[in-house]
Amino acid sequence: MGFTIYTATGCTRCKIIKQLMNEKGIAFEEQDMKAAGKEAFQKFYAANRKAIFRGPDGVEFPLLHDGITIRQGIGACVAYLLSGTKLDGFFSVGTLHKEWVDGIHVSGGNPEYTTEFLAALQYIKKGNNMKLQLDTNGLNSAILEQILAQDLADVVIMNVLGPKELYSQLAGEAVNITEVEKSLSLVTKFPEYKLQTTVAPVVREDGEISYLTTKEIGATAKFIAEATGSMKNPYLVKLFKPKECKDERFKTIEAMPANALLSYRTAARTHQVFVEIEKN
Amino acid sequence: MSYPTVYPTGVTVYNPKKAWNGFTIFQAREQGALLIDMNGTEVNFWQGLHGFPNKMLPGGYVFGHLGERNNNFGMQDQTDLVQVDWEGNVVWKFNQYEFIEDPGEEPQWMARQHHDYQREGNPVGYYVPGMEPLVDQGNTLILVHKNVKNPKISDKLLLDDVIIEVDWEGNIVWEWACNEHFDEFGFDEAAKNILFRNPNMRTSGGGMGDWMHINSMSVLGPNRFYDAGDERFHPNNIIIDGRETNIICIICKKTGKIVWKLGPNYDSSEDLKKIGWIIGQHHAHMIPKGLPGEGNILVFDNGGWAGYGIPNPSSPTGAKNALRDYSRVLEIDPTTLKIVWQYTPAEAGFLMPTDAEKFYSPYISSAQRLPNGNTLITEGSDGRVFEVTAGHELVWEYISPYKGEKMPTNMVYRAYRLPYEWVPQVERPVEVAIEPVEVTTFRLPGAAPMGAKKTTVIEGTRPYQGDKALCVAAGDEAEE
Amino acid sequence: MTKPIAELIFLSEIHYFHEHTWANVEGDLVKVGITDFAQDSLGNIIFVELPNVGETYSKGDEFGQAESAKTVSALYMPVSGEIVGVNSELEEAPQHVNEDPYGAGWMIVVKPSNLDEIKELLSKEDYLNQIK
Repeated sequence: MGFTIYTATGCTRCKIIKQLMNEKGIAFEEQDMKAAGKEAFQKFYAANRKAIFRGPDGVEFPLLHDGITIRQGIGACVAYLLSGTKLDGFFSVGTLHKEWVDGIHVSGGNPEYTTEFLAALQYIKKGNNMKLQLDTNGLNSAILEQILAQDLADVVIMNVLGPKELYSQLAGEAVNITEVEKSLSLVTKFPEYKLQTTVAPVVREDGEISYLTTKEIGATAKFIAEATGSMKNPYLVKLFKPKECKDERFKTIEAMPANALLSYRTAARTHQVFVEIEKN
Repeated sequence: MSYPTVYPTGVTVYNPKKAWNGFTIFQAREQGALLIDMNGTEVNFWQGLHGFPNKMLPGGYVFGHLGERNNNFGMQDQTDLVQVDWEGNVVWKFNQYEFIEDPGEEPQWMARQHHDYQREGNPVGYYVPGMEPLVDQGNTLILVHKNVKNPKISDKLLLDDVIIEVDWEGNIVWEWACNEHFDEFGFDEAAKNILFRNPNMRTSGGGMGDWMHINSMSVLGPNRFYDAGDERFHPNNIIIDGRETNIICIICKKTGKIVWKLGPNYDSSEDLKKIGWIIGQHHAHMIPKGLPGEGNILVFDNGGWAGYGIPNPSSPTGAKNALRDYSRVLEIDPTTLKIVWQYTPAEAGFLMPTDAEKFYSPYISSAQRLPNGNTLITEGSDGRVFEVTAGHELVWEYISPYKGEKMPTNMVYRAYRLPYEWVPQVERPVEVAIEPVEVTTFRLPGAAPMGAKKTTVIEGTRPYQGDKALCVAAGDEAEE
Repeated sequence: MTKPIAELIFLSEIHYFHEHTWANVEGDLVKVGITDFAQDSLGNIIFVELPNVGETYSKGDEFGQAESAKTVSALYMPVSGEIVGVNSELEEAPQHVNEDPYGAGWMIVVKPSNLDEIKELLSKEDYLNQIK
């Protein structure tokens, strides 16, 4: 089936994807939404709008469509063109612009395809001089180790989900905590890194749903201190946004006011002195 | 203008019948917190206790700071806020705002406090009948510094002002950052332009823009406007003023939004034009309920140099583009914007504008309303603290003898009067009147008295006239 | 990309809501769309999401959204009432809103629950003052 690429005039990332298709000899049709492809894009959008991501600056380009599958953003497009669906989960649509590419999730994909994943990163970073911002929640630490060895990340953001005891529950799968500890010790070695924890809702033993407590955030900060050997990591405590949540159980939970984070900062500060809190 | 090189220090004027008698607390330059009585007797001296400012609490407690951050890295950052008892024991301390690692210094927690703080129970930090600050519990609002980047304001590193509320245990329970409200201050394009290029850059820490420079922060407390239904004046709301921007404003405690504002411009309405340009002001606060003038805004309008705006011959870049070489104390009704009372060089008895700078402190300074309607004014740059009646009569005056060695000035940042009852540790002092000296006959040993040895008369001389023909317009002529 | 206000069109016989929708009384029904100013700010509209006939909304409620490549903008009810008609042509041809916001680009027809609300809406002049 033929490929269609939806682009916007002047979009550099779109050019990179077109170039890749040319290199691989993949035939494609281009629809520039700002030029002759305006109507085609409108039709495509109306038919697929639920599957199309909108960032703060609107629809992100390029959008690649092979008749069945839609891939959006440079990362996901490169991954799909190089390795098909094998790399699903490693990439989503990012929101950074200019030379920066984000939406790259070290922990999100299948580690069997590490080689393919690293090749995709290589293509974007080394082949096209883009800068990469990766994220991880601690899983797939072996991949992170190789990314470090091959110098494939400019920034790494680690979502430290919570304290050790709750990690599996927060991740939604059984987590080997030594994996997370290993990632924590690796992440501090990248050119730039940030640690962050969202004050997320947790299903408690009695079935009640409640947010991570200040004590649990304190324990998370302590966990970070132990695994990184430092109390001075850049660390951000974030608000949970029920509206953006995909988990049905948590959609109806009441959002926490931004001021409530103040007590979380106090709790975390004992172990991570540079902790900051997210503002609304 | 010329000041005499010789002048008395200590208390120079004192009328016990008209003054509101009590103790006065202030920071003796480079010495410590000093408590004096009406005759200037030094009742207690808390040596080395910094004061930005010092304030007293009932029971003989004093607020201050154990130290200041190395000036190479911090601008006016006090390491902490402490409450110290009569004997010097620290009974309360807050410093856990930011962990600071300055080169060559011990890494430590710092409050980065500056300019002001308020303990629950009292809105403004000075004596108000029936509104005593809590001494062994309660929350404290503290004005602190934080370094931030905000490309909306400038591409330079900014020294932002943050207000935090901490509980007795030291937990931060509320926080407000000035830079996040930039859009609400009403800067015009000219102001934004110069602010972006030069947000009042200071050299500390490799350069940072002290763009707003909040120097006062207090709570409104109960007031007649709120009682009448005006939500802007909710008792929990906080009033601040920004020296560099000429802004005085009220922050809604609940939403953080600016709900009332004077400045940055004073030419956009007839009422504002009547007030005239407030410049580099200090200590803008609402006179608390229970004191004469309650509900009005009392402010020490320094003059000097401040503001961001259109360039002019005195400000080629538009930085600090408003100038005035004298000070004013203004009492303004916040709803009508009328000046209810004022103390300017004119009320002080100086010829306007030629002698106006005889009442002038281009920085620091304050004004405190006293229960009998008097006002205690700190004319800070000359270390002069004085009290005037509502009718502008001088009833007490003190000149600080404490001149710094590291900085050669006897400046007083802000002095506060407090009732004798707040210091149960000492007997009520004896009050001895000090009549104003007749300066025309006052002589130092060796100086000759007035009076000519020989008076020579010339035929045909005419009598002297008034002041209509000075080289510049002055007096009645200037007021037209 | 946006035009100066002087080049935009504002009809005098219709009513304006401060959230950039217009209302035109047609008998005892009210037709609603977005203003020329709103469509111009949005840019090329690529999708319009509209409510279902029979649904009831209050004045100021969000009844749908207009999407362009760069932004998504909520649509607000200028009056309270029941939806009795929607412009289904916009599904296929959302560009009508850009081309003819007061004509072919209309969005919904409302049976108002309180016709007095019309009087609270802005005139052309008031609306112009607001967007200036």
